[in-house]
Amino acid sequence: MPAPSTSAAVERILELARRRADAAEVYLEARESRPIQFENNELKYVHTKSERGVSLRVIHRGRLGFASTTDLSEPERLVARAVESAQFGQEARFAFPARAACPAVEVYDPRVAQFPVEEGIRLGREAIASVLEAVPDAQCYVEINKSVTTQRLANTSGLDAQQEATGFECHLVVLRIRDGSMLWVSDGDSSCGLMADFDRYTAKVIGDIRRAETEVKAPSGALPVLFTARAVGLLLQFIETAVNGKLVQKGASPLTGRLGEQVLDPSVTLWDDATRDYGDGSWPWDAEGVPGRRTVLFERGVLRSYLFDLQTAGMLGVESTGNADRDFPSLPHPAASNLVLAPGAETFEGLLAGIGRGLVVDEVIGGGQSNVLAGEFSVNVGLGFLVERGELAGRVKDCMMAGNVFELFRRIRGIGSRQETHGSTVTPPICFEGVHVAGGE
Amino acid sequence: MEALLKKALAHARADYAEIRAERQTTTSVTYVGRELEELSSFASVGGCVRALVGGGWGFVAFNDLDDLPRYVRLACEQAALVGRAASALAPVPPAADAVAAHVASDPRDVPLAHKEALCRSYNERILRHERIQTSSVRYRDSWKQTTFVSSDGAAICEEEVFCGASIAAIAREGMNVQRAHKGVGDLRGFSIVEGLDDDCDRIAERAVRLLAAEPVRGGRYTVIADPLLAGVFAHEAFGHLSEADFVYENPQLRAIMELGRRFGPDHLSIVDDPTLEGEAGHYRYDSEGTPGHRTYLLKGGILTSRLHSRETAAKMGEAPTGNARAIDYQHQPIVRMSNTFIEPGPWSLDALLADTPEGLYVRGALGGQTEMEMFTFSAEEAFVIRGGRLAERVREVVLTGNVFETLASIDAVGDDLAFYGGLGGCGKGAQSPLRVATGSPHIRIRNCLVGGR
Repeated sequence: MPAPSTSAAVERILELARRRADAAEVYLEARESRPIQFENNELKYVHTKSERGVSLRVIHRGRLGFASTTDLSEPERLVARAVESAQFGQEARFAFPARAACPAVEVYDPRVAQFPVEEGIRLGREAIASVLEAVPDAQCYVEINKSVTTQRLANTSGLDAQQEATGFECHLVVLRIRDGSMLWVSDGDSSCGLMADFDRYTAKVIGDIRRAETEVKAPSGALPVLFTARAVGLLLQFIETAVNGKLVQKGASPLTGRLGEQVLDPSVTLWDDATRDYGDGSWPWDAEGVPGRRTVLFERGVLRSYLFDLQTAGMLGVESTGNADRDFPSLPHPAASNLVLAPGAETFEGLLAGIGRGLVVDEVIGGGQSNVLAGEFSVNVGLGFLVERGELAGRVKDCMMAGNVFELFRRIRGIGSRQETHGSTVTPPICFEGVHVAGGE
Repeated sequence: MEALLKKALAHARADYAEIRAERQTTTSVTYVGRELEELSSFASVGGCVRALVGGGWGFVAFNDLDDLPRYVRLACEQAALVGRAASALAPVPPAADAVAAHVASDPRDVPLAHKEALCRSYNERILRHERIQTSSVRYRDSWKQTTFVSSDGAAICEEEVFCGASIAAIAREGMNVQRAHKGVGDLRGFSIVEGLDDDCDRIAERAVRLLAAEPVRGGRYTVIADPLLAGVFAHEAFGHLSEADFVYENPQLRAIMELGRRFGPDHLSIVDDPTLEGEAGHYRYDSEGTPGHRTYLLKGGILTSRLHSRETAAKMGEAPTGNARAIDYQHQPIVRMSNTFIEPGPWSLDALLADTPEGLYVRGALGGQTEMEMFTFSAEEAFVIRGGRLAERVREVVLTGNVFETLASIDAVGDDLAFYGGLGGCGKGAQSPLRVATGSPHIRIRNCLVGGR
């Protein structure tokens, strides 16, 4: 719960703003986080971050104004700055929503809130010890971070909502240098609930290190590539960008004006779901107080919806999908909550066995630098393996992979039957045809 | 403020402790397409305590300055949980100094209406081009005052005024979407964002031309990189490896990054220099109160020095360089670059081109990333070089490779050193963006791997 003085500040700001502007909304965010970090096999630090701030959005004479602060001692100045900016602001195409019924979504886990620092230190030490037992020359990095966030949203339409959410993140990253060749492998989880399966992470990284011990020349050409569930997440970022209502409203998304069209392969069904219990991106109500929901984006490859907040929806004359996201210093914007890709029928082993010559890719470097809007990606394969006659033949290095995400999702060879959750993405592995690979060969 | 912080530190039960307190105001204007997306202001007060006990660090960040003694106690307790050895910090004479910002035109004196009008005029200028689907114009200025006190007796107050803008044009034809952009941003004041009208035309034209460009064919090329892209390469690929926190506790990396070892040809020198006033990476004191100075990372191709915090310098037995920086009070200082650049050589661009029968000419950087020895960075614009001349435009050019092999393959360095800042900056760990500048003249790289179809 926010301190009484903080709650009083929200009420004071809303009261002052009500007098100066036609409508107003106050958003308070207070977060306390406790990261623990191990570097090079040793405990490096324990931090406490206590962060809080408030923002004010006003609609005055039909225009939007906005200001934010971490200084709660001068509410008058915050209101004055927001009202000043409304002179020039964008035309408001919505009204602040009233109170509405929201789905029950678990975003608070008391086990996270009570998770002791000492327990985190113990988990980290144990994980590092088991990696070092298997790989004595490994350099391990562990991060365990828990947080508790309080949000309060109040507006002049009568909405006054408050919620507490927990967050838990843990990551194990291992560096191994051998004969001048560096290998990074990693695993981890992030969730609203307590997730700290270090046995699984250590097994994964040790397995990766073993598999990567043989290095082979990377092939070149248009090849089948099997993306692990984790690597599919990279590709979904491009689709997430393209369904973002803001980019659609600007006409910048290549999916603009294509609702109802067969855009992707019929095997692809993808939805956004804010209502998953303890999902990393879940919310019972979004950052504008609109109830969270499940929105189908692609149904058997047919584009069904985009993701909207109130303003972008208002500009296009549709309803918000409850996808407003924000940090207190910035305005709300549309964003995916959790992206879920429906599973297919094939096992990972079956997909692998079907590859005569190609790659398995688990991790890439340089995901966000290419032409994201157009779905063009061009990345270095961070952790990838050559496949020959259905079997892993060794790790590939110095290897680039390029293509267009929208084209790839029309050239699907098979989708795995088992979904994995990686942060806010839930997806099975996918094998694509004809991915352009440039290696040393 | 200073007295309050010193009083709170007096009771720290630690080998070393420090407090940083910050005040900041920021104004942002953003146009996207036809709409003014955001016109907002942000004010912040906050601080942090960092304590060192038995070689372990504790760190507490806060917005509420009223409860300082509790935060100091908490930081010392956390440090004691971590510390299991002797604390080591390289000695730095404790400074007592007040550093005011020097800007020709202070953006805080410019009316909000004027900032909005300037952004609107750039935006309209981009949008009037045919086949431009949408645009973005982002403006930001900020004023920040940092007060630093340490248990060593340092007491420093340093002020900075940053101002910058980023403009982008997006052209679209069906599923083909192309983007071109230009960014400016440094500590020189409001004038840096004025007079960008011609740049608006240039990026709009470039985005449209990119629609017709073919994706580059993947393979190995002789590459001539412009000062912007070459500077990003020096920063991303080599600069990060020179940050001592990557190396000091890692014996294998330490063996690779051995001072005195040759990493490049005689004509290649790479420098980090926070003392260049006005550039985006300038500061007088780093976030630990160490004065910044010029450091040669590579001199005549030889690894000469690396970038340090007080802790990494002590642990490696080298001199501190004043490169411990935190993006804000929510973060601890870590080893970072400032203004990092390749020193100029003898080649003019014309001579370089004439000397290159076949290859690629790559300009600008959409981004870059490194994973130790491996780097990737993507060009904003690229041309095929044929017969020593620029031929057709190509797109989706991403350069990748092993940094050591690539440095050794730089066979010519141009005479046209230029620096670039911008609204973005450098990301490391969870700290992004940190204001930095990159710089370089044109350079030529032999046998560079380019991703593509």
